Amino acid sequence: MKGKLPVFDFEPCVSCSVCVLACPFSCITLSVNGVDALKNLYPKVDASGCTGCGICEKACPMGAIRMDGNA
Amino acid sequence: MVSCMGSILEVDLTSGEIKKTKVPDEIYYNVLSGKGLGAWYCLKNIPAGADPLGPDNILGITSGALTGTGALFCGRWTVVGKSPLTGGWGDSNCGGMFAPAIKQCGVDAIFFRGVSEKPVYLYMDNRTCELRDASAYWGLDATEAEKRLTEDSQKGKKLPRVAVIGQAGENRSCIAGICNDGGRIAARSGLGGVMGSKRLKAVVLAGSLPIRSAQPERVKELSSVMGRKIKRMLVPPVSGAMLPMVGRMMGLPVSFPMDGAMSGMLLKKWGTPMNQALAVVSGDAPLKNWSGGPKDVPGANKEFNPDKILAMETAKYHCYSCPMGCGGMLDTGKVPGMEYDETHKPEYETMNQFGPLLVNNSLDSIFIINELLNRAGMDTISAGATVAFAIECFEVGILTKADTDGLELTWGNTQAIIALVKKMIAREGFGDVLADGSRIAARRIGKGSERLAMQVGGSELPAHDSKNDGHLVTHYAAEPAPGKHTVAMDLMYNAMSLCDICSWAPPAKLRNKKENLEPTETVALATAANACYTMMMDGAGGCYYGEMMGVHTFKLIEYLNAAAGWGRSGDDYMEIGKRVQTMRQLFNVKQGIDPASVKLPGRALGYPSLRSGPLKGVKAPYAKEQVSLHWKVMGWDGETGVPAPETVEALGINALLEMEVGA
Repeated sequence: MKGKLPVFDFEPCVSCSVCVLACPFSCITLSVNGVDALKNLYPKVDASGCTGCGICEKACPMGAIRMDGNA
Repeated sequence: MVSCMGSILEVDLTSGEIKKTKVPDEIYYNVLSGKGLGAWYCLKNIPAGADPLGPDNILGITSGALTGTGALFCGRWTVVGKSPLTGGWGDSNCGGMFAPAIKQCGVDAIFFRGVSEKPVYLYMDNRTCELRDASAYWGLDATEAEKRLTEDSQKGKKLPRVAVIGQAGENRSCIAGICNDGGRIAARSGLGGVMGSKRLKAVVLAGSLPIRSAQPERVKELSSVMGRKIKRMLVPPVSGAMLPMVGRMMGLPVSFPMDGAMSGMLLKKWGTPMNQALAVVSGDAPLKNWSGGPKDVPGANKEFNPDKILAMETAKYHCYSCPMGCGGMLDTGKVPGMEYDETHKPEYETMNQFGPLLVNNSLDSIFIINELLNRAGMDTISAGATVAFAIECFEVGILTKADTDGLELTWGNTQAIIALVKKMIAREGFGDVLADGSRIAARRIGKGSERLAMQVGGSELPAHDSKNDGHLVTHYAAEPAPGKHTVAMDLMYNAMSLCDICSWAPPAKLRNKKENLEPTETVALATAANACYTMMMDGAGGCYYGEMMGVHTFKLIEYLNAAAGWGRSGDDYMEIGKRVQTMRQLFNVKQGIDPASVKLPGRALGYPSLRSGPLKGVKAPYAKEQVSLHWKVMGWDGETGVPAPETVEALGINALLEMEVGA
């Protein structure tokens, strides 16, 4: 059963890719541009592959992920 | 060690045999992973006198002890082996996303020996590990080969990570590196040539195994604190045109402690190209093949203003676990003469080696050369220094157009420089003479040309003048893989606060730069401490720019204790660094390198001295004594550089070398 999807808070996010590596289904990419003036890329989830397991939320050192999105 | 996978992969390319073997935990305890694990394995297994480009050499691809644990700034992988460039120890590291992929396949390192009959690549995931035919990829540049291998190997959504050689490696160039992530490169020491000599085109990794740590919440807490600090760091509200003024301040004859956050702020905005605007006026940048001052490169500060590069940046590039993002992707669609629409932001080293070092005042040409060399997999530091050597040979009449395939190799001749780079990549005509670096080129050319080759022990000098940063007088010559700026510098030492974690590291103090050019115990302690710390950090998979943030921001000791479940002190970890450094030096001795014969060229020491600029008249007359004192602090013989038997014994190296990997 699919749970909630990750929601990313770009304010604390440091674009470190720890969530990208942690995702066991390779559903997260750093691909959101235009968030800050420096042009850092931020994470995005591919909802079709995400099972809502929450591993990314647990792995993120910055507290930037909440499992709160609609599947 | 909990954060390591506890195994390595041993691949015999001659027989095709592949073994996954366990590594005794005591090895990790004593040398960590990464460069340390590689030094242990290569010292033990590469026979004395091995041909660097023959079957007896071993090519190791290693990850770091902290890589994949969630520790920030720990995404570097390191390639190790016997260098064809120097004949001694070789290593180089690189970022991108490749380092954790090694551990996700269940191993900490992959060691290749032998030579394959035909081109192959290694494919590995959680279940499969095999050598595959690489004929379809042989001949492709590294970026194209990576793209095709990724597409051809991908199963489901998991993106395979690829380390690959380009044409330079295939052509067994002694200045070839190994590439990943579309243009990142483990460039130095010529180990791409070793990979090519083994007919190993690539390593493709698609594992997804978890990487653990003993105290994951503590690791996360450390990352959170550092990440917040870097996120909140101010981005300097100044234009790139103002950087030369900062450079003038840095060019003053004083050395002083500073917060590592300073460099972090600049890197976060511009990446390493910001240093070009500082370095010409500060004296950091070698100009005109180490013979010129700022007046010899008029217009360089304007042409190489890093704001021009920022304007082309489409996105920042972060390596795995990097909170800073010093890299960037550039839109080069409008660069005249550029074949490709995109390139990784050139690093400072590339900019200076192909810019002011050659009196080349064309930023556009830097983009072209950067992409050409990244795709070919050739070290821009060595390639730039070798082109500088060739130009000066031409200027003084050692070479003529009859030698250079008609190229007018004069200072700043941009089109001739680009044409020559292409020839070096293809080993075509005169390019073949230069394709193995400046020392070998000088032997081929003769006529006294060796005096114009700015190399040490065979390795070309990078873009930092040792007369400006006196610690480099020692490091360039005393480092077992000579001619590297990434081991240590006075600039780094001033930012690290190493004395706060190491009982024998002297505090950084305000002083005249000339004091760094004198043979004092204080300088020797600082150079030894910095080198040991970096060796230890390389075992963790750490990044140089994390290191530069200082021990109070990048808390490597706390990270390692949390990841491994240890409670070891800073001094304990410094001993690990000393052990690894000593193993690397023992490797050189085993391979017949005479450390005392590795000497800097005269210009790097001020002979003859520069006639203008911030380094006008500066000399480093005590290089031999500085190196000798450094060796003594390391516990090596002060005359020969050979590690003393009592040091080897105290570090337990012989006992470690007797240990075997077990199936």
